Amino acid sequence: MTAVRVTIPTTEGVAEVQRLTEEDPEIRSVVCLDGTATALAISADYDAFVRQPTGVIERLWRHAAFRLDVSARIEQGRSWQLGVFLAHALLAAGRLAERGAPAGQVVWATGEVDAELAVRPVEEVPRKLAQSAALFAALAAAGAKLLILLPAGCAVPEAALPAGCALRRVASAAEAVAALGLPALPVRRAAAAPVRKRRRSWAWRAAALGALALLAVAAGLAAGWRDMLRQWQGLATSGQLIALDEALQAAASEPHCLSCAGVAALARTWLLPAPPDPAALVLAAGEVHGSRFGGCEAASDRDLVPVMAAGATALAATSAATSCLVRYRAAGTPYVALLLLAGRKAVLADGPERAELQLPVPRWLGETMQVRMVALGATVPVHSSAAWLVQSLQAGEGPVDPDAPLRRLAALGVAHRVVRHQIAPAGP
Amino acid sequence: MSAQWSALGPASQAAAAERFAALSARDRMAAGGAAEATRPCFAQLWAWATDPAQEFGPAERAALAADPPLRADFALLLRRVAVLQVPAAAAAASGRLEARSGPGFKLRLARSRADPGQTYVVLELAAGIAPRLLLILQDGAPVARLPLPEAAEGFAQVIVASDGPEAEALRDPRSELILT
Repeated sequence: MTAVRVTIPTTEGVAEVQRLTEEDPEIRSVVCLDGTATALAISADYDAFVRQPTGVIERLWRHAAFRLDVSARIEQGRSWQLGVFLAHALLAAGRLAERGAPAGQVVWATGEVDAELAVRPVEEVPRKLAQSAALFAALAAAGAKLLILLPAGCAVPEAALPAGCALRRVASAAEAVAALGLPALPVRRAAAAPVRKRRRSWAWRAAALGALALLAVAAGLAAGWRDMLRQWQGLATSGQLIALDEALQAAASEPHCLSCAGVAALARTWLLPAPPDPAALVLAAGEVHGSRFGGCEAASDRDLVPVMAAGATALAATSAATSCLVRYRAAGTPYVALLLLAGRKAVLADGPERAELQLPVPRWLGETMQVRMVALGATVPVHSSAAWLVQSLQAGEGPVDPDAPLRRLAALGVAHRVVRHQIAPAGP
Repeated sequence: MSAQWSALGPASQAAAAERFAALSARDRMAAGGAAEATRPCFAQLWAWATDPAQEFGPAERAALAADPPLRADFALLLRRVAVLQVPAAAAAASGRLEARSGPGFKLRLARSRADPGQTYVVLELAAGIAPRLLLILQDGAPVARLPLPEAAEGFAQVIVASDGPEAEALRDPRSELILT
């Protein structure tokens, strides 16, 4: 199949799509200039174009973050959307000609793509054509096949078009991909999260939220409740469960409101994530023996001596006489956080699916060090809950006791496991 | 009487900056010596702490490194103007951190799949917090400084070299992060 190079006109010139790459979904999609670290000003708009719920790219191709490298600056507006959409369609079909790769066809596209995948008209098309004159001349000299895509209804004088080009006016993204001979677009589906388990769960909750909204309408409080429910759902999906808990408590205790307590109780039932089984949280730890390995901190997994096998329930004590580093890991749920507590000192790591921390074993250790390894797991991001737990533990006085805050998190859908670890001094 | 810098409005901040610049100029004129003339004045410290467009390269870092009292002043100033601070990780932390967090703030590093030589620094910020600069300090001395783009929906993101001083400093648990 023919590879296609995508060019995107601006009022200042024309930008070529040099590369389009799937990135870690944790980052925001970004448009970079010519392969450098310079992020262009349209990056935030590009992220919104990609990421659900506003974006169309994730909805169609099931990935939330991309890096787009272009050859020239694109500073503003939305007319880049049609060209960028086609770049994604071509990437999905394996037909995007990246920088330096041969292309059987060049597409020059301008237009705005809305949420319904309709292509909307844009301004300054004659000027963009004029600014692309040098590109058109170079393509003509090379005998390249050029396709110009414009929004339907976009009037352009015949004389403004380059000789020998093919021109198509399109009313929809579907027509645009068809013009390039690409497969039909994937069937649109409802918003989906990256984790299958979570997706099903949130689809169900979205339906529940609709029922709640209907209930609120019946109570004559539609507008206020709708906003409130949207806020609560935002807190739930982003994993801000303590904030959600407090918001629901505040709503339930609202004076002079007959329906508040009922709606808050229903929202609590439907919005809080189901807690994963704590047994699903798999903890593991290994230590590096100084005598076995010269550079402790750069030790690879091969250099680790297990002190707790994955799935076991207890850690063997570590001795500073033999070990210089302990590496702790937690995994097993869609989102995981790992805390190491030594007195009131705490370190925290979290992420999707796994978290890892390292603890150096000081040679000068004077007395046995008691470390608590606390793993949190949930079906929603767990960072906010873990940060709250650290704050709670550090704010109190007297002995550090994580039990009460962990119980509160468990009631909000965050599972946990706690394992103690002793690190003994090297001795005289 | 004292007030948090972030609590002042733009007009008050501009007025304060002008006053600091004037005081610095007066100090320079009063000192008069050649050696004093090369010492960064308060207005420069102010710009390093708050102005994303201000140059802050090896020469500026060296000037601070060579002058402990000045470095202490700068650290104090940063803490006054900070909208967010993340202290160095606890003594228990070691190795390279891929994420840092504090109240109202979360930072994550992610190496680019497109170009492993580049790393994304993703900041997640609580509502209403809009820092323009991220300064990274070790032992009170700035080791790197990152101008930040305007946050969108609570996220700000910059790209740095994977083996550059900014990424190295952010991964170092000894680093203190200050957002101004």
